[in-house]
Amino acid sequence: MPFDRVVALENRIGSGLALAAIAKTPAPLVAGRYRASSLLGRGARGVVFSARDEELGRVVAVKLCPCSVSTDVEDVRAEARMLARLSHPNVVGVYDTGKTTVDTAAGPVECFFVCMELVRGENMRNWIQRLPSKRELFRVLADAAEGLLAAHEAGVVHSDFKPENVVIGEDGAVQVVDFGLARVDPTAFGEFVMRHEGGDVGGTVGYMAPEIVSGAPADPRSDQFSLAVTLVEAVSTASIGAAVGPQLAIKLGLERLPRRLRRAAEKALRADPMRRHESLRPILSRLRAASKAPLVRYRWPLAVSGAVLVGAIGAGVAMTYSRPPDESRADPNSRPIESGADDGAAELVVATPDNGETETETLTSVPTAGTASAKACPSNKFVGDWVLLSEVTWAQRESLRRASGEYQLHISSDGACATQGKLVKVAYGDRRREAGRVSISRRRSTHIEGDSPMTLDENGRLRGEFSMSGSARAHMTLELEARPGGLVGVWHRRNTVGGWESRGTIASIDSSRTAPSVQHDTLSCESRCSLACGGQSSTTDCQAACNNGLDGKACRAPGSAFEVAALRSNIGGAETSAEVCEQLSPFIGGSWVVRAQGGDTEMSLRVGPDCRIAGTMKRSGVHRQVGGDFLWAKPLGVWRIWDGETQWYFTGWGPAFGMSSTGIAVAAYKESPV
Amino acid sequence: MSGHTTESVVNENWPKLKRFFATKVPAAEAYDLAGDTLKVFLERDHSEIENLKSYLWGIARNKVRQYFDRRVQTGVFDSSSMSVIQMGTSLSSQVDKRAHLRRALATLPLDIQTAFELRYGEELSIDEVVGAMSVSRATVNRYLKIARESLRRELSAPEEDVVRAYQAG
Repeated sequence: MPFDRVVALENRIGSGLALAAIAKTPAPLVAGRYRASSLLGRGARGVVFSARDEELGRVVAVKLCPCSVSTDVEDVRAEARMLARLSHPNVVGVYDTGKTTVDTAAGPVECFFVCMELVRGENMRNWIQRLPSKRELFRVLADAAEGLLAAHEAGVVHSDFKPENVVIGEDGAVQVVDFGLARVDPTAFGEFVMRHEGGDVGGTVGYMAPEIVSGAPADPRSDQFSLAVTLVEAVSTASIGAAVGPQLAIKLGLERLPRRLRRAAEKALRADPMRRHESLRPILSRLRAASKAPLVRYRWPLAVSGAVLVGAIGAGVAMTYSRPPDESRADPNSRPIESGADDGAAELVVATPDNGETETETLTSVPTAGTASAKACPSNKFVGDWVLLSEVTWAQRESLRRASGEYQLHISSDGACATQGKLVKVAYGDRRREAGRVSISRRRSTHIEGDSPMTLDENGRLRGEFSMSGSARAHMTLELEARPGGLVGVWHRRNTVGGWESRGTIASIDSSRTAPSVQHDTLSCESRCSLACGGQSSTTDCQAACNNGLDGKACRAPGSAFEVAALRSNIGGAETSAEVCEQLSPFIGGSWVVRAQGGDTEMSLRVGPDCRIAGTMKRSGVHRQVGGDFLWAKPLGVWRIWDGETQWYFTGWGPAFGMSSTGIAVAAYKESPV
Repeated sequence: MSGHTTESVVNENWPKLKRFFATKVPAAEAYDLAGDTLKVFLERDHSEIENLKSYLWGIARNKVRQYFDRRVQTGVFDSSSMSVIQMGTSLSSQVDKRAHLRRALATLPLDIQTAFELRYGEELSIDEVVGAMSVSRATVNRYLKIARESLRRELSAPEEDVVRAYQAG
C-alpha cells in the first residue's frame, strides 16, 4: 500500500533523527547530500523534512514521495526543471529533483524527491483557521493566483492546488508549493485513489477539476477550478456541516463573495473547462479588487469546517464526471470515493448568470466529524466581520430614546487566542421595530471608530472597551454573546464631551439587513445585570449572584460612587409642550420601584396633560402623595419627583437612573430590575 | 527490551510512540514527544526497572499529560513550504477511512483512549497497561469496556478495524 510506504519513510527519517539526538549518530542522509534535521510532517503522498544541503551548505526542505511503477518521473522532472527556471515571488523555489532509494524497516523504498526553498510560515489551511479578515484572504488568494498564472505562462500546471499548497510566510509573503507533484504517485491516495478507465489520476479529491477526475490531462483551467473551490471554501459558513447540507453551504459560500468576484468564481467552477475563463486573469483581477474593497458588511464565516464544503463540491464533481460507464465492475477502485458514495446526495445548482443556464451536479456528502481545529480558541465563534444594530434602553439624552446605530465590528484572534476588536459606527437614525425586528430609518452616515482588546469572560461573553473617536468622542463598552444566528449583547456609551450616558442592546443583522429586537429576558443573567444595574458595584454584585445560581434576582442600590454624569449641572426649566407631555406619559406613567441605599421605595405615577406628574409613594411603610414635572435641559431629559421632603431626579425610562437632592444615587425600575 | 542496543530500541519504538502521540497531538509535536520519551527512557538504568514496557509507556502517558497541562494556543507553526496534510481537517483525511477511525479514537476521553491504544494497539498486557497508567486493574478494565462500547456505538465498526487503523499510523 502506498500509504504504508509513506509511513515507512516517516518512521525511517523520524527514528534516524531521534537516534541522532540521543546517540549522536549521523542524521539520515537522502540522495547523498541532504542531511535531515527535523521532520516537518507527513501527507498522503509523502514526507517532508528540513535538511542541510551538504554540498551547498544551505538549509532546504525536502519532500520524499514513494514512486509507483506507473510514475512518469521524467515528466515530473521536466516540469520541475521548468519551475526551477521560473523565478517568481509567489512560487516556491525548486532547487533539485530526482529519484533516490531510502532503506526502511519495511524494505527499500524508491522515492521521488524534491528539494525546495524552506519557507518559514504556515500553510493556508492553518492560517485560515485563525480567521483573517476577508480582505486579507482575498489578498492571499490573489497572490497565489499570481503564482499560478506565472507558472501557467511558463508551461507548468499545478494540478493539485488547495489550501495546504499555499504557504504564508512570517512576513506575509505568499508562495504556492508542490507544482506538478500530484502526478508523482496517484496511487498514494490510499483509499481515496481515483481510478478510471483512462488510467490513474492524481490530486486531492475535493479541489480537483472534473476533467482530471475523468482522466483527461490537467491544463491551466483545471487550476482555475481548484482556485475557485479554495475561495468558496474559505468564505463558506462555519457551522454548515450536515445540518444544512451542501447545497445551502455552496449557496452561502458564493453569496458571501462580492458580486463581481462571485461571477468570476461561478464561471471558474463550471464543469466544462471550455466554459471557464480562458486564463486566471479575470479571477485574479476580481480577487485583487476585492482585497482592496472597503470593510465588508457581513460577518464572513469561520473556515474550520470548510473542508466539508470542499468535500461536497469535489466529491460531487467526482461522482458526476468520473463514474465509469460500467458500474457493475468488481474493482472497488472503479468508483471514485467508495467510502462516501452512499452517504447521501444532494443537488447542487450552480447558476451561470451571464447566460441564464444552470448546471446541476450531484453531490455526495463526506464524513464531517472533527473538522474543527484541536487548537480552536473559545472566542473563535465571535471572530469575523459583523454588522450590528443597537437599540437604546436608557439614555440621558431624550432624543436618543428611539435611536438606533449601525456598527461594523471586526473581531480577530491571533495564534495565542488574544482577541482584538475594531468597532466602527457607520450610521445612526430612527429605530424602526416591526415584527420583532429592528432596522434604521432616516439613516445618516457617521464615522466613529476605536480599537480594543476583547476578552472572553467565564460565562462565554466577549467584552471590549473602545475609545471611539472621529465625528464624536466616546467610550463604548460592548458585551457580546454568541447565538446560533449571530451575536446579541449589551452596550454602554459615555460621551467624553458633555458627559452624557446611554446604554442598550445590540444584535447582528442578517441578510435581510435587519436585526432581532433583543428581548431582555433572552440575554444571559450577566448581560441583564449590565443593562439594568446602576453603577459598577451594583452590576458586580448582581453578576456574582448569577454565578451563585441565583440568576441575579435584582440590582441592589447604586453605590455612592455611581452618579449619572452631568445630571445636576444641566437641569433647566420645566417643559410643558403638548408634544413632550404626550411622549412622557407611557414611559413615566406606571408603577416603579426606586432602589436607593437605605431601602426601596415604591411609586405609582401618572402624567397629566400639562406634563405634571402625580402619584403615590410608599416609603418605610408610609404612603404619601407625590408630585413631579419634566425638566427639559437639552440634550438631557430629566424628570423630577418630590415627596414633600426630598426631590428625586431621574433620567431615562425603565430603568431610570438619578439621584436625590441629598446626593444619594438611585435606580428606578418599572418591574423587577433583572 | 533489556539487552537491546540503543539503536534497536529507537528503531523499534519510535514508530509506535509516534503513532501513539499522533492520535492526540499535532504531527510536529508527536515527533518531538516520541524522541523525548525515548531519551528519558534510555537515560534510566534499566536494571532498576521491573517492567520496561510499562515504564516506557508510562513515560509516554506522562508526556501527553504534560503536553495538555502546558498547552497554549499557537497558531503559527514552524512549518515548511510543503503540503503537510493536517490530519483531522483535510478532505483527504476525512475521506480516508483509516483516518476516520483514528479520529474516532481521539474523541474518547484521554485516559480511555490511552488504555485502549496500549492494550490493543500496542498489545500490552493488562498488567503492563496498569503499570503504564498507574491505575488499578479494575479501572483499566472499566476504561477498555467504555472504549469498546463507545466505538461500537459511534462507529458501528469492528474493533479490529479500529486497531488496524491505529497500527497503520
